[in-house]
Amino acid sequence: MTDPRHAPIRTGNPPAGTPGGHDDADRVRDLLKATDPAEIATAAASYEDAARRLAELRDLLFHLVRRHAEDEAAASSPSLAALRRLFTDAEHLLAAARTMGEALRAYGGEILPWYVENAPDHGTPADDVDQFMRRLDARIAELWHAFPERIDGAADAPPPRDRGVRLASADPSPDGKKDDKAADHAASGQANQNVVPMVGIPMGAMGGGGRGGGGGSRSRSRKASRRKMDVPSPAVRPAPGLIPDRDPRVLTPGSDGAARPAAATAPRLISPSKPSLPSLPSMPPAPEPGWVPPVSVAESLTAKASEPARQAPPPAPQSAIAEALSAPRKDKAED
Amino acid sequence: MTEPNHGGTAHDHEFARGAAALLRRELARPSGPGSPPDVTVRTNTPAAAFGGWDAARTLAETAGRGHAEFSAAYRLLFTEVLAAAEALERTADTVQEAEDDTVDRVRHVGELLGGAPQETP
Repeated sequence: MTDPRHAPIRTGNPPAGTPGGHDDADRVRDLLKATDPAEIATAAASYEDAARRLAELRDLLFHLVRRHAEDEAAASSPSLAALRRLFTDAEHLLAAARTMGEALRAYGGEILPWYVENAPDHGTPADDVDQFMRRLDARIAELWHAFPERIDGAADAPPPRDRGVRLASADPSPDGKKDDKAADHAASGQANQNVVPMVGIPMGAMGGGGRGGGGGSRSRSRKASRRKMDVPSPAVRPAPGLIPDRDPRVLTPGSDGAARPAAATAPRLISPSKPSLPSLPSMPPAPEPGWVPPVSVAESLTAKASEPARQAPPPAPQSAIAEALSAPRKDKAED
Repeated sequence: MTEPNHGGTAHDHEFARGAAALLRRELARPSGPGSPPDVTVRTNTPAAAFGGWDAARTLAETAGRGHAEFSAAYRLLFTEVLAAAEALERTADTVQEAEDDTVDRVRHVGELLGGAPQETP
């Protein structure tokens, strides 16, 4: 059986929409109505609960490791190694719980409800329906990238933002001035992505994500060229309720502001506040490179724990005192 | 009566017992939100909840794998914490036995030297 800490979570290709795959407004509306955002939000809440408990356990293990490492004689003890391994496992699980909780919170608590509420009406032009779903697929791809590749190592992985993943629930400031979006975009040369929902996602990872990606799309279709960054031509008249404002930012659940009437009524869930890490002193020295953790914590503790306590007596007793020290206990000798 | 070096280091039996007690207290918390059984159940989201189109199904698969691996690793962590607590308790017993043995030996040495029990520093 594969150790769940090493088993892959995010494998295969990222989600990608099918270009032109959604052109029927009624079908899209049915697809969206068949979802259950509340179920996903429940899972997100559970991950957040787990993260809280893991943070407490992690802090306890940190305290024990630090206290244990104060004793130089215990530096190489198996119990210290076991506690360190538990601490590391708790760290990785905590990171995984936080990232998965955030991703599911964004999808089930914000993105999906918004798209369900703003699903295209009957008679909406096929192009607009397709564009609507492309944007949703782009959001889904962002969330997919936010998942850890595996549990083990989740704490070492860069946070989703550094991986180019921008969750919708994060930093919903409308103009990007109060957060680091503008800086990120400037740094990546994608400042124009401020106006499209697919921000921060490498185009290569988007598969058929298409024109929503802004500047990264080189092979634009005729329709995409006509629309230049989703700015509609005057001839395009979206159906009522589909695209309240042609500013693409309006279609981004993560953005906020007065110019998004539909979003104003959509549920606004605050992103789960990351519990700040306790200000703990630096960790005791890590195990040496090449150190292999014991297969079983209990086994490692029981196999060697008694060694320090049962050190061999001096080899060659030469005095009465030495003999007394090395002699077997009286009660045992009498037995 | 001589005493072993209680409380002086983190490597003695008192530390091992204290650490085990703290870990057991953490494990003994009532099962509720955040407990392994609760997390296992509540994170098990049906794939259909994510949506029935391609991208949503891919996300659902990843979320499903995340649920399975996280739940298993979470339960495993608690199991290993329990095992560590038990092992620390066994270690404490062993260390205490060794310390008692050392105390007896020191007392015997003291008797040989001066006829009276000596206090260990």
